[in-house]
Amino acid sequence: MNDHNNLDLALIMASIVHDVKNSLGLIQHQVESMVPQLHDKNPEIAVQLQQLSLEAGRINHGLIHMLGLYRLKEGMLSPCDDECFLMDVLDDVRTKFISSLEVLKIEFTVDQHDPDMIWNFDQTMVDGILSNVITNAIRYTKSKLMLSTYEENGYLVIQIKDDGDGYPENMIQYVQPQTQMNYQTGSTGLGLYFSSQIAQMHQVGDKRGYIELSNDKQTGGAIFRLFLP
Amino acid sequence: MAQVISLPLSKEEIAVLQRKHVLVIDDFANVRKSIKGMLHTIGIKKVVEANSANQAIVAMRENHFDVVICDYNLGPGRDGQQLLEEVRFNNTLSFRTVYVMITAETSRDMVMGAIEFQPDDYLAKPFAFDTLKQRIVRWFLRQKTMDKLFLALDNKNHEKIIEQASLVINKEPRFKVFAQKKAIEAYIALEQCETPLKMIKEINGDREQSWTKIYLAQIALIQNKMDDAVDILKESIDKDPNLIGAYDLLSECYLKKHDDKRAQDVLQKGVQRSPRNIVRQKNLGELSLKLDDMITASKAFKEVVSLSDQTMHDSPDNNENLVRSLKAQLDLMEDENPEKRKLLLEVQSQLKSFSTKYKGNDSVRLFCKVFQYKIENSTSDKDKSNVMDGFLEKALMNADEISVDLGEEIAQLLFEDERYKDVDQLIHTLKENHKGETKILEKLDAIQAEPVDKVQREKAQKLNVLACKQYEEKSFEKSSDTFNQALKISPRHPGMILNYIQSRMQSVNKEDHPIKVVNNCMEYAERLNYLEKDHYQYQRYINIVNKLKQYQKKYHE
Repeated sequence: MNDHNNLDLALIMASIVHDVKNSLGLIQHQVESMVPQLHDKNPEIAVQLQQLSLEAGRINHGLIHMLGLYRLKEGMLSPCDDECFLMDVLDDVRTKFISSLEVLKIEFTVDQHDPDMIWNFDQTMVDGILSNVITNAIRYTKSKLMLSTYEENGYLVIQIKDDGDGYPENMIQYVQPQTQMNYQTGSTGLGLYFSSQIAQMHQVGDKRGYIELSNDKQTGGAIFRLFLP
Repeated sequence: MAQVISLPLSKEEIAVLQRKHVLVIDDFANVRKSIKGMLHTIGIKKVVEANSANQAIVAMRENHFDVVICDYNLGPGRDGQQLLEEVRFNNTLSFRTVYVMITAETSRDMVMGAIEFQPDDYLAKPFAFDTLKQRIVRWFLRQKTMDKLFLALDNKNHEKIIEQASLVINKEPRFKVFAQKKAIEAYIALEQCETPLKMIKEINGDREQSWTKIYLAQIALIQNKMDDAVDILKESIDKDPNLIGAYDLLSECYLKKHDDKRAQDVLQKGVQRSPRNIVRQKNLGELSLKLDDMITASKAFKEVVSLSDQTMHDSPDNNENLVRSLKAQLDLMEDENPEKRKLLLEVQSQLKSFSTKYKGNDSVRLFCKVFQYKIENSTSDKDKSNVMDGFLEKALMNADEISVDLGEEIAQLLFEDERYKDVDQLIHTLKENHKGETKILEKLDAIQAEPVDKVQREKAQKLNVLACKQYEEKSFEKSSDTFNQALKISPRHPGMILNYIQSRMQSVNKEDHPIKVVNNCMEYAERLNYLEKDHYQYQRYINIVNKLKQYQKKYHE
């Protein structure tokens, strides 16, 4: 019998992805740490490096999503039900992008309706969703990112809005069925698919989390909303 | 209202940072250097480095640190979680110190340990300068806000903990949940139920918090409502399978209800969720040994042995239990089973690494010799060598130092060699050593009666049951024959010997030479010379011997 048939291919792929992700994380970190050194001497290269680092970050998110989907399929992914102090969670996400935003001259505002808000969710998972959205938004926005949170009908809403050209129509459509992937659109939407899966895993009674994409009626910028019960 | 953390820092804040003391633990020098560099840039100059858990412990004994930043993976030896557990357990780590775990994992459950040993914060690797800076400020805010609470926690002063925690709950929403937990734990430690129940009811007002469930179960246990505790825990595991502490507590409940099988089931699920917790693995191993589930036992002890290396849980007992469970598995396997050879090699390699690790430890050496010998002899028909002899003699001379478990193994070896007097002498010494310990004394009695391994014991037991049935049916010839078969396997068992004699004597008058049979029975009875007066079979034994003496007179030719 051929021994290769017995290999758990998915597990091996997952292990490889895991290693690649960690190496890539180190590369991104190293590139990132070079930016402040070049900031004054050669601002142009600093901007390019920053973009390089963001791109590495995008790949990294992709790998994290692959791993996450593997664990989802194996039933090994279930959210931790933590009471999170929202201000700190948002702060953690924002802090990761401080230097990118500065170098790329993007203004980032945070508007939290209730600064004392404590809400139940898996902090690592939500951090992942928001970081992924912001990484993409930085690429497509013109000059601004607006993060805001509020409570609506028993849901915590975390919204990220930019002033770019907005989501293409097919992407807005895409999130609706939430179970199908469209490889034709150029973007696989893997990140969004994963985000909506994670959101759905957050459940209270019969209320489930979800995500919603739209474009701002006035500015046309993209709006991402995460709803957590 | 919550304090907003803003960067850049004020002059006062920077002055505070300069007085702070930080320990950085990582096995890679360049990582330590990089973190140290960041801390310097932030304004923290007092930074100590450690490259291993051992170095970290020395540093923590000598200094008070405000922050300990520790990588989860520290190379060979203890990891960051095990270090945390140890320093928390032996009070080397003050609650005033912020313990931060750096992990490379994208999900937290990879590092999830026991609920009582959570780090104060996690940092995902690699992290940027800004992230560290912002966290530093948050950690010191935490330290400042809860300093008095931490002091009370260090002193285990429950009344003070309750007092200080309630101040925090009202003052800083950021640390509210932490303070609530500490207050409830303090009430539980004081065995006060009413106030924490009220608190939990209030906390769960908007939404049920799964962490409250473990406390609710603990309170139910204080109130002797065992079934309520079980229900609460079962339900909470259903709802939140990550609530790892619930598995441990539920398992304890089942143990108290003497439902070992369920207790094992629950522990197994907990181990699946969080396989790196040594105590849980050890409990699972010990429970599985008790339940004769050798496959689960050996799996658990294998984890224990590898996880506990160089930790405070490191002990030869773990290796002994691993070897024992593997050997028992080996005994149960048919010779034709192709897996048997693999298992044999595994036991041998475990024995080898065990004796290497505890070189110079006489009792480990003896244990390994005994098992090495047993394993060799159970798998081949070659002549039994006298390899053991030197060791056995030495062991018998120092019988004082032999544990009951190892004593049992040695008694079996002596017995196989028909050295009955040595068996009795060994058991006698062990009994002297454990005077007053009823359970151990009972066990020693059982060993003396039947110094054969478990598989043999069960075989003999089955034959004994069959023979008793034949005896009841008055097929005495058959029953004598079956009892005799049982005695070939377990020749010193008082019950079986006396059964055999009784059965044999039933048909003695039909024999051509009854005196031969009686004398033969007397020889069997003499095997029980060792019975002491307080043995439960002693009276029966005396009665039967007296009867045999009468027969001897009667049939004397």
